[in-house]
Amino acid sequence: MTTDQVMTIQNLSVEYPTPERTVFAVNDISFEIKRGEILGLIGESGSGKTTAANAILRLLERPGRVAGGQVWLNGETELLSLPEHEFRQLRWSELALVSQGAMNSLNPTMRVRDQIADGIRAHETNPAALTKRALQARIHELLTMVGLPDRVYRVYPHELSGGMKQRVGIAMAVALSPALVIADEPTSALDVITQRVVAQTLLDIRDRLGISVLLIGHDIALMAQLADRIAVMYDGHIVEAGPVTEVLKSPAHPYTRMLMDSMPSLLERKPLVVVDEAAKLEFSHYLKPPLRFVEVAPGHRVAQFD
Amino acid sequence: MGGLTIRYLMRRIGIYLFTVFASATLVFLIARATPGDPVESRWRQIEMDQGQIPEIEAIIARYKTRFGLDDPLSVQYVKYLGNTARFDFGYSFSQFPTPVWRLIRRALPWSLGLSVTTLLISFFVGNTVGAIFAWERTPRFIKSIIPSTLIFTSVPSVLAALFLLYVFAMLLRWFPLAGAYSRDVQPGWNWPFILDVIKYGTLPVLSILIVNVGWTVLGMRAMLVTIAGEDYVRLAEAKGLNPFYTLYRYKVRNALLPQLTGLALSLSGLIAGQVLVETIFAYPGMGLLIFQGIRSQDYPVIQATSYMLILLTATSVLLIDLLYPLIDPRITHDGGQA
Amino acid sequence: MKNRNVLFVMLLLVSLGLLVACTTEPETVVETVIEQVEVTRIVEKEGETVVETVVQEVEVTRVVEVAPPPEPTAAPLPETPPGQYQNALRHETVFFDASVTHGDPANFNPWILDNVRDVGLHQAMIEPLFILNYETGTIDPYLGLSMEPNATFDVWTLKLRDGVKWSDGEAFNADDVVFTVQMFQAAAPDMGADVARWTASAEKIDDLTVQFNLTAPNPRFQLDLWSVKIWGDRNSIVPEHIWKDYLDAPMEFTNYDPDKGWPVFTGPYKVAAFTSNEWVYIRDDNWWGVAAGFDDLPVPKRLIWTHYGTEETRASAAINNELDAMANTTKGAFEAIAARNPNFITWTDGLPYAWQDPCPRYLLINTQHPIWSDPDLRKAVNLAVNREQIVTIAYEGTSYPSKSHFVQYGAMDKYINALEAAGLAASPTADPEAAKALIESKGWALNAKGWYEKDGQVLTLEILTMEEFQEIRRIGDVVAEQLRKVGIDSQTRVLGFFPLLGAMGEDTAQSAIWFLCGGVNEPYVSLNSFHGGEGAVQGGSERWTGPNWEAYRQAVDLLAGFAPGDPASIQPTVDAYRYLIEDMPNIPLTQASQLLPLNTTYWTNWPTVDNPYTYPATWTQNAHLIIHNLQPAK
Ligand SMILES: Nc1ncnc2c1ncn2[C@@H]1O[C@H](COP(=O)(O)OP(=O)(O)OP(=O)(O)O)[C@@H](O)[C@H]1O
Ligand SMILES: [Mg+2]
Repeated sequence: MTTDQVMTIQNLSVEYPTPERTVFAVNDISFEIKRGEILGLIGESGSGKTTAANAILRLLERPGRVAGGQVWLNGETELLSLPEHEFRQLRWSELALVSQGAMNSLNPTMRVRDQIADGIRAHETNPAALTKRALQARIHELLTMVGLPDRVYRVYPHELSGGMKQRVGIAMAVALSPALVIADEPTSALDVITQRVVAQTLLDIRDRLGISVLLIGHDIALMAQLADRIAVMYDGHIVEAGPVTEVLKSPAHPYTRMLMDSMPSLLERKPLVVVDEAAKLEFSHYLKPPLRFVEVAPGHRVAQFD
Repeated sequence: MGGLTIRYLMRRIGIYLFTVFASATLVFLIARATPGDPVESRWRQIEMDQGQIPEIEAIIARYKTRFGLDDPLSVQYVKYLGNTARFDFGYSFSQFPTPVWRLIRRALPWSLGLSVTTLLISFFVGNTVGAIFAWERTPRFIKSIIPSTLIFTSVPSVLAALFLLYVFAMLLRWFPLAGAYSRDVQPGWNWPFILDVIKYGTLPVLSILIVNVGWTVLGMRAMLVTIAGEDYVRLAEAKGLNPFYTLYRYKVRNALLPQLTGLALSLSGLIAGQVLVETIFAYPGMGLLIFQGIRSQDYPVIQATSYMLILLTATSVLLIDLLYPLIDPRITHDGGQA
Repeated sequence: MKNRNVLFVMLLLVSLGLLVACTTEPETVVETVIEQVEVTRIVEKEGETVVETVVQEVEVTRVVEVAPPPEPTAAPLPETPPGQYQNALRHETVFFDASVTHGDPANFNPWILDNVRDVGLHQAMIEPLFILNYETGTIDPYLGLSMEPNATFDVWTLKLRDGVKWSDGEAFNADDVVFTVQMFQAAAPDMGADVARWTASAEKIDDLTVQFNLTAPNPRFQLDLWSVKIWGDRNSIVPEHIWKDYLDAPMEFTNYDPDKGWPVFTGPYKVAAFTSNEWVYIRDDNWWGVAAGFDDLPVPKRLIWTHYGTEETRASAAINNELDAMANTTKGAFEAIAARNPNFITWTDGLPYAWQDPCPRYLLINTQHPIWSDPDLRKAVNLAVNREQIVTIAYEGTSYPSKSHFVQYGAMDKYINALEAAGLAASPTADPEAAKALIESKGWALNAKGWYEKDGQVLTLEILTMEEFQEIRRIGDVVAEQLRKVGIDSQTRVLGFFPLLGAMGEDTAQSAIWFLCGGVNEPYVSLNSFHGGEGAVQGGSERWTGPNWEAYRQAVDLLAGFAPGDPASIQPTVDAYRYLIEDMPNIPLTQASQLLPLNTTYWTNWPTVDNPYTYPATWTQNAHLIIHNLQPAK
């Protein structure tokens, strides 16, 4: 609790060695998340957002592996080198996840209450909080917090709508008031109205609990509404980062500009794909590490591109 | 749980009753469709074993009347349905005047014991081993020995039975060659008898087990590999739950339903295998009864045992069906998956 | 599929490995010694050739078998005291192969069909009145002393042995016999059908004498009904004092109540325990035979009949000495057993191993078939058949070529010898040239394909064989092959037992491999089966007609009047047989093979061809004799 940075990522690189070739999904990225802020991570499909999040959470799928870099929690604990059992203790209590697929993010054969409870049980050290009654009260409280009716407590996931499930996911993630919640496209599987509701929930939670959020998504409009700062990813690199209003108002990197141009309309939801192949080819040309960053405004940094 | 509606129950039981009725009819028809007259055929066969039987024509005529084979087919059928519904299968030809139900009552517990034991072990062991096999935390050397335990999977259970018989009963003499318990014990709830039953049942159970358990193992493994990619499993990981708990509650638990379906589907095959295994070990169950029935052309016994096997299979499938909602809350039994 | 093969081979290899590992070879050592040998050689000496003998030393290498370490001098084997025979030791117990399991084993009613009788009941408990000796043809006394007919064979007087007791101590006497006959008369045909048919009444003359008044003359009354002719004495006498309470439904009487000591019979063993695949009998030291001076107690204290599921299981049990007397076994299984357990013997030492059962095999031809109605063609088939080859191929050597339609027991020798002397016996080998000549003499000629053909019709012979009966299928295949060699287009068709009976009844049927369990010490029963008339059994030659048939029938009817084995019946037999050969409605092929491995590890003096006190079947009632004759090994 010494710094105001909940998380500091330094020179993180992730690669997927496959039989054909090695995919360098994350290339030497560095950024930080401040206490209580929502950091938006945006970029086209395949740019490495999920990979980065998974690397932080140590949930990389095979064959992915961290090729380099450090992840500091609260400026004092380096997560990537932590022994497995120690890291497990930090999971959920310090680092929680709201996952992407709303349909599949809950175990179909467990009641909602049990799925919330098992996370608490795994990490809560205070025995008083583990009595049946205390747990029950806590879960009810959490559900109320995310705006879910009481009956959700005892139902199975299949009895919930997509938006409700995602709110259960949020309730679950904040159950232990972690330092950081990583939300990987928490709204992308939802209809537009529900998206807003879920987004609002996230915002409320952050305001009430002061939890930091790493919010991954393509929806720039949503980002504008939710995020405090924003980082733009392209091909495994962070090409631009800064306060959300600042970046959206005056995007400095050509890729950011292109991204904003191709932003899908408010009514259609689809993966973000930047169409201009020729331009992309040009980017790859100068996206050669190490990138050099220039600060175009306070806190607004852009990778050099010429 | 709430998924089990009365309407569904009625419909499911209706289907069940129809299956039973249809199979009873089929059993009846097949028995009549076999060329020749079962009574005469049986007596001629006895003549073959024991030499000429005096007054055989008179005996045959007497038996035909006794077994109602003189009646028109339709009358026989109606009588048969009525009797079958009451589990009255008449007399055995070859062990006349022993009623068939008495033979079945003696044989059924042995067979049920054998199949229930086999099924339970196969299900628990198979799924456990499958889970260990698929689990990413399992030490590599354990994973590498598991496939060698599946070597019997593609062997017919008869061969497995012969192999086990040869090695463990004949060469090593760890287990007896045949029967269900030894002559020295008194059947009943006493330890010597129970231990004896276990000793005698081991090889028959193993013969069916080692052939079938492999499919359960492989099925479980495949299911778990699929499930490992599900979001909720990643989430469980992110939660930092106890890995054993995650394995059981998030992965295995969700793989069990398809495994149970597989079990229901493999049931008839298991039973068929058991008939042969019982024959090899002279295990006094339904399989041996059916085999002896066929050998001695004892039609009432063949009919009754086939009917009972179908009834049991249908009942187990029904039970498994009704068990689904307990295992998977998504199955509502009203509109399939919610 | 490939995987499965590989697995199978692996399995085999593993099994083989285990086999080899577990087989102990006699120990041998290679030794080299210097030996002096006399050498005789031819040498040129001074221009002369001489034979000289010198002594030379040579090195000799040879393999010697090392004598096994001397067995420790045998301590007397422990003995189970009376009252504890249930736990008798291995060397006091005889294990028999049981042919069946029994779904309801607690039923000792001897008339239940599925052979509860032959899992010990009639070998250990039910003693017969008489036992027929297949070799001598004599009907030996057992519970009965004699049974004499009057001159017209319609009154028979049975004398019972004195001192016979039921196992509960009651005397066995004429009352029991009369009661049993009356029970049969009430319960036929479920039990005692032939007794009911032939006996008008049975009268007690005194305690040990019963007079049977027959419904018609029957010279074979004693032989057929009371002498264990084949398998068992179906008409066992039961104790009146027990069965009289069940007279209204004797078939329903289970005859089992351990508290009352049931079943009660006269034999030297009692039921001790059973499961559905095993029956245990223990010796009754109070057996009547000792006091009555009939015989000593048999040596075995315990007899066990066990059903092992399949031949593989039986063979495993045999190798492990868990079986002493086995039922029919394939040659392959027997050789496997003998290789692992050399103490097993059979009826003959070496091939054919087998004992012949009373049901010889023959080729039955439809005498009303348009082609095969010609007796000369049937004779040609007879000439084309090579019986020795059938034995060699179909039986792998484990049977005997038939010399006639009769079973070749000692008691039949005099008849078969007479047939041979009359030139009527069947040849062991074929005469294809004679067969061809005979066919050609009837206007058939070989066509381009090598088949005989006449008027555009090919000479075919379809042989029906039985699906359930591998032996018969194999005979059929060999015969068809032999017939094809002489130009008859012969094929086999395999049918189930009953469809086969049906097909044989059809006009278009040509031939079938069949068998007949006929007479074993006299020719009448067999010959009477072949004419298709009254008393003939299915599988005879129902369609045979014509003058020879007429003459044959009369000759057989004449035979009916002779007492079994009467030397005066030899010539009439030859006379009747001549008509049979003349028309050849069926052609004898081979004897029926029963390969019965017997274990000498614990018991000796089993019946063998050199020691034929009875035949070696142990599912038949003559096994009383075997059990009384067994001696402990060593
Ligand atoms: N398991 C894997 N094996 C090999 N390559 C992978 C694997 N997972 C991801 N990648 C590659 O890594 C790169 C980054 O993928 P990632 O899923 O992180 O993108 P993303 O930015 O989250 O995209 P989206 O917006 O579609 O979720 C992609 O090129 C992808 O093909
Ligand atoms: Mg992603």
